[in-house]
Amino acid sequence: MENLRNGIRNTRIWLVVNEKGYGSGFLSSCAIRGLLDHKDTKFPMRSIQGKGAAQDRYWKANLQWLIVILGTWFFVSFGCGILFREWLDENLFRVGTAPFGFWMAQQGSIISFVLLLIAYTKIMNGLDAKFKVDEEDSK
Amino acid sequence: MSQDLWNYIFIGTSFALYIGIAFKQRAGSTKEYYVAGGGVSPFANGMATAADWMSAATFISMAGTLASSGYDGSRFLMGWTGGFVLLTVLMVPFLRKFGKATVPDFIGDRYYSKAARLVAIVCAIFICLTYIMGQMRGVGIVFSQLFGIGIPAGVIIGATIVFFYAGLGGMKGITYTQVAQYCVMAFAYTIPAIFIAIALTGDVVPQLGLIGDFTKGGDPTPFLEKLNKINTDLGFSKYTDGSLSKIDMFCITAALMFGTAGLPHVIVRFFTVKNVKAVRRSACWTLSFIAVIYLTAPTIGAFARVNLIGELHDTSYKDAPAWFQDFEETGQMAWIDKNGDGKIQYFGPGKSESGKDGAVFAGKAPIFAEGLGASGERLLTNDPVSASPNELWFGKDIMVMANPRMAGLPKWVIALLMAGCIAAALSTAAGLLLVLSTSISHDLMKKVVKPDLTDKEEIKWARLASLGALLVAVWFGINPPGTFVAKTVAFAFGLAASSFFPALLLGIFSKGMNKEGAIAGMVTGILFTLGYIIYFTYLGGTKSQYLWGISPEGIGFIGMILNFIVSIVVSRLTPAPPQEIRDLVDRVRHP
Repeated sequence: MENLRNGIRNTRIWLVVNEKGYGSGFLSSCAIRGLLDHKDTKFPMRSIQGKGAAQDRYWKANLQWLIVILGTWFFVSFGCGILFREWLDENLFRVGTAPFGFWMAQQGSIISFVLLLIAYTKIMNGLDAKFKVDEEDSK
Repeated sequence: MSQDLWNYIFIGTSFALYIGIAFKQRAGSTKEYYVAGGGVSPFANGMATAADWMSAATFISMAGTLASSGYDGSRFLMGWTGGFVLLTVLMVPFLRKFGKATVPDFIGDRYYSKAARLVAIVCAIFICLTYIMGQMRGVGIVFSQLFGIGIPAGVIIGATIVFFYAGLGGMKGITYTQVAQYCVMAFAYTIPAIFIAIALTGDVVPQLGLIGDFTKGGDPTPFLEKLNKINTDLGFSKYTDGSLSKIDMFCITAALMFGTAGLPHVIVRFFTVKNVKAVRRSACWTLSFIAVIYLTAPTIGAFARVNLIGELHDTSYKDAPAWFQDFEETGQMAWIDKNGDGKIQYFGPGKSESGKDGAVFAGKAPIFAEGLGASGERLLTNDPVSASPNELWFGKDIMVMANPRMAGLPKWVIALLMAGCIAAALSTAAGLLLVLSTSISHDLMKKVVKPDLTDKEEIKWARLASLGALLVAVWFGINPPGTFVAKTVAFAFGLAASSFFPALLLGIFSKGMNKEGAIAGMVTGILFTLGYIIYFTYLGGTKSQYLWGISPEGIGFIGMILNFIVSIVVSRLTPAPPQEIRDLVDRVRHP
């Protein structure tokens, strides 16, 4: 019985995704409800074949943004704060009266981290919406 | 009003608040006990995580480390904040999607094996115990100063309080307690900094003071230049330059960052919010709240350095401010009048004969003798080091506590600081205790030993386990194994980086990673790191034996790379994981 129910639910998702996410309101809401209900149990996905393409694109976009964000992360902390600090202290402008590299290590990197996370949240929420993998938020 | 009275009022009120909240929000079900029912708002969770995250080591020692080592202290600033970027973009959204309560749960299911789960449980227990020992010691020190009792009694009082509200309240109780604790900590940390910034630089915002001009007495000079000059005049290296080698600095920062992203008690915090979107928002809030404190720490460190030298250097002992004697009394400051002029002289390594060692006396800590010296100072039994003219010794941990007194701030500010300090230690200890108890009740008892455990029995086990874990922590808090708080804590990060980080990362980002690879990697990583730490901390390894000049604090980074290599090589030589696991990974990747 359980298998049968899962089967039906999976078919619904398959339908939704097969229509590139433009499924009717009824079908997509069923699918989302199905996902939410089964958040805490193993949810067999093997039978979902058509979902692959959209998922792959979503994951690729995700990875591309990850590289951009982690690149910036490395640059502001390890780059500016450690590896090129002396050079930056000597050659770059001062922040107020503080040498640039030192300031990056003690203040600038932390400020950048906060901004990075805010950017990441915005970008990922945007991706979720674009690929319709959005969870139901206000439940 | 006396200082003691202020202390009692502030600490008494804050305790009443914490216990009241914990009682009102106490957990009824296992889900509430483990993840607060999974419905905490991102804002509240952000605050609670920030409090959980910032331990006594951060609160007490970090500014002191910055004050005494200047640029070198940046490794803690970047390491402990940068790790959150990794945690947020690489870990928590996916683990939250997976939807289980603990980190060993993920490892056990993702690597489809009881052995992997067991290794993860052992690692989690080990990391949390290392960490909680430092916290209990920190609580003990604050209490002992506060009530004038011994450290052991202080540790026991602290442990009793933590047990009450973590054991009773579970995750739900401690989450809301931690929200209150964060507020206490933030005020306690920033208010003294603002006062001091106004006094020294005329800026209201301490961060602007740091990059502004020093205006106290005489012409304004750039603050950091002034600090560099003070340092170099006394034979220290420039404040804005470090003395750590670049590779060591890099490795320690990296170990702290990757360790943050693998710490079970931080990861589990993000299981308490509703969904993946809320996880991302919550992480933003967490880092913002942490940044408030971490951006203030360097200013406190720099200001304290200026104040300390200004107030003490070349001052005769009889005219020294009252706080100097108070800290002498508790054994955290000491003075040996080497040249017999009755004045306190503070010099750096540059002024000694060898040009390298600025030690005041032989040995790591002062051992006080009976009786007083010619000027009325406490005498030491340690042999003075005659090769260095430096006469002043102080423990790094006092900077934050001494700062408001150096600046002559009102008594209530100091009381607030005490309350903040205790909040920092208690919130972290409670969070760790919860992970420890969950590891035992949920991961070990329910998932491995006795799967038919009922909900009620499981909570009972959790509470029993937290009692057991606390007893162990109290024991080590009273008899610390060798080195002290900040270092012990740094080791916990190395262990987390070398064990969990690769297993979790590969579990999410590599479908082909199998159980053999993950287990081999975790075991190699943690054994290598632990071995290196034990060898250099307890078995008498010397600096010249360091691998590529990397200190034990930073070796977790190398352990992590080893873990990655072993995992990947082993997984290519053994059978690929079954299809269900690939599907599981697919599911985790999409919110």
